[in-house]
Amino acid sequence: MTGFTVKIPFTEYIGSDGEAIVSLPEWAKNLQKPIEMYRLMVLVRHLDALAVNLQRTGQLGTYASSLGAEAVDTGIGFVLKDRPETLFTPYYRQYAELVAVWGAYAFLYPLRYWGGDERGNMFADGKRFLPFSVPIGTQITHAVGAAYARQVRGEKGAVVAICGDGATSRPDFSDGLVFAGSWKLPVVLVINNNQWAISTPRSAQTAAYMLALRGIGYGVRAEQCDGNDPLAVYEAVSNACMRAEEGKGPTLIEAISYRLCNHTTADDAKRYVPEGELEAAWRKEPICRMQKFLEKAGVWNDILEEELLSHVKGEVERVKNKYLSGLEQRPAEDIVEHLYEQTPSALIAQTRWISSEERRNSHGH
Amino acid sequence: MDTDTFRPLVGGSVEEATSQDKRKTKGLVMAEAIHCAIARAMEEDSAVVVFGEDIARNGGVFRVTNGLLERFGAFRVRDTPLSESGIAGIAVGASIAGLRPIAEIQFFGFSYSALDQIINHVARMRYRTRGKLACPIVFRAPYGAGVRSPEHHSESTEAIYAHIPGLRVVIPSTPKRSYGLLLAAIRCNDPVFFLEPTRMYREPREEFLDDGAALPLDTCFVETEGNDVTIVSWGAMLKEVREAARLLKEKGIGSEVIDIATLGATWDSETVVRSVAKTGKCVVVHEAPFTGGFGAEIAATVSHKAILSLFAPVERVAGLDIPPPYFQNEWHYMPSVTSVMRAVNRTFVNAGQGSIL
Repeated sequence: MTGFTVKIPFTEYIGSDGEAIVSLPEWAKNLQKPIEMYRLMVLVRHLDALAVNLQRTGQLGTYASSLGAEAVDTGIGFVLKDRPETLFTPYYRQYAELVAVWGAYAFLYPLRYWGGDERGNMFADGKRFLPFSVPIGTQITHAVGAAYARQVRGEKGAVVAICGDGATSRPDFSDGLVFAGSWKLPVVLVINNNQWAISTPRSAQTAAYMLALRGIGYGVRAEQCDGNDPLAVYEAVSNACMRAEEGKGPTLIEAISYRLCNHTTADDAKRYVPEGELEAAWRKEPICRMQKFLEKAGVWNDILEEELLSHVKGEVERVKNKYLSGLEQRPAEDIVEHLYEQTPSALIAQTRWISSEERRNSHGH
Repeated sequence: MDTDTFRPLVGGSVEEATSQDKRKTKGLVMAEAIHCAIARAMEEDSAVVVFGEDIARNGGVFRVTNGLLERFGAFRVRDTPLSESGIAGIAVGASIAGLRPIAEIQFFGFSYSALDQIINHVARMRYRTRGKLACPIVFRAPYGAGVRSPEHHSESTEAIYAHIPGLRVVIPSTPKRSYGLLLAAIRCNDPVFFLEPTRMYREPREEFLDDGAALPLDTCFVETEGNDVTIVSWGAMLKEVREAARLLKEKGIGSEVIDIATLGATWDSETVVRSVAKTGKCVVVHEAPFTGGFGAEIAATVSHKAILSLFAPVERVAGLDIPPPYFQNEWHYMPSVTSVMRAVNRTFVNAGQGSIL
């Protein structure tokens, strides 16, 4: 009778109290990148707060906040920055990745997206980013298909996909791992396990003991990391990208984090999150521990913090003003454009159904 | 079968074949014609890949892709794990990343798990990115009843897909048309669901040139011209329609037989309306169930645009509103030559022209 033992590695560096648990990886030892990561996390948290505020004041539609996910998104964002041949397939809550690659103004895309304008998706160039994907988990097979294309064409670069804990129940999660494992594709799938799928807690989502273990079932290398530590996320994801590029196949990484916000601005998590759990999660959140760590390491202080906040507030203000000044108005015919490569005349004729008043009032934000 | 009668009407362009490419075929059945089209497309464009269940080593359950693996290699001709939703999702990612996937669904009746990806992403990727990204995918599947298949292998639910904005459903009814339309679908930068009528896979045979010439999408094919009644159809039902047209001709009745070929919002309504303006009588024939079938769209458009030309209500001859029954009953649920003739007769009677039967 034989059995086998499975080992799921867990990557962590900085504890919730700001103390280094293990020695830092080589690339972090001079603390330059950790400082940049901290700065990005602070910027994104403030941009995110701007978006929530815009929604609450009727200037943005329903919005999915990334509060609590800053470390996961920043870790991945820096991988994308350092490995520009990498393609990233988000779901709908990923903003730091865009800002890491393209700067604060990249946040205009999510604002326009949640503001109801398709032009918000145009950050998707097919090479570094795919568009936001609302049907849960469907971006996973897109990532795997893109990895297949890279394999066929002999193109360099891994494909990083992210999904939530809820998405692991979806058929696309299974499809993605089945195809990626079977065809040995250069994919890195990150599960942002923030413990909640709207109101469904992780424990009710699946009886699986650990989400990462599910990768083993598909023959895919699997590991976990502390999703509140951007260094851990960066290390795990970049190593997985390297393995993928070397032809060693896909990796599943479960990042353990906590959703500190509502599912979206249309949700009220107070209805279902148990008493005290949110407060406990805040004590582990990524920005506070990074600040403590950098202070203890002697590379951060109150003055630098003030400078950073002042800079961030300026960036946020500029982004807000740019968003509110709006995009150019689109002509009424634009509503039927871009569905086919060449818009059929029958479709253009249908725009006559839009009243001239509606044409005059068509918004650009 | 006289190939001269199968010619596209106005609208769209047929690519000119170069003299080097003119390769006359010995006469192919549809399954072979489709094979030729795929092989030619893969030869011409290294971005074209084929994947699906059992299509590589096994050559496809109808042998359509037989031999492609040896010719083009295991990356471009690939067997997939058993998941249609996976096949569709992979096709999305692969097409955005620069490939032109021909994704086979083994039978149309197994395509439904792929609907999530097809409706939510394939058909609208270009729209949501304002043209920056698109999905130049061809999904292919055998469809339709009449070959004594087990349950679920005889579906004809093309209306579901035809209803999706951004997606074309293309259905050939001759080997030559299957070759030319599939080439057009592969070269088209918009997604297409290409449905292959199962009972037309192996007959009839037709001679044509394997010259890489595409036929136009979004265009009807007027097979016979006539002044007395317009009969509109697509897919395998053309077999019954052609026979009915022959019988009508013996009675001195000229039918204008039109193969729609492309279903969806881009369908060529002008050709049909122009025909009805001439004949004043219209019969639509499809295998798919009656209610909500694409025939309803055709009937509504004809009734709207040709109302003043019509001498009789538009007739629809369609499958019963049931799932395809087990094969002992399959010919009772599908239209037959008789039911087509009866429908034509109703238009004559309603037009006050008397019974023709």
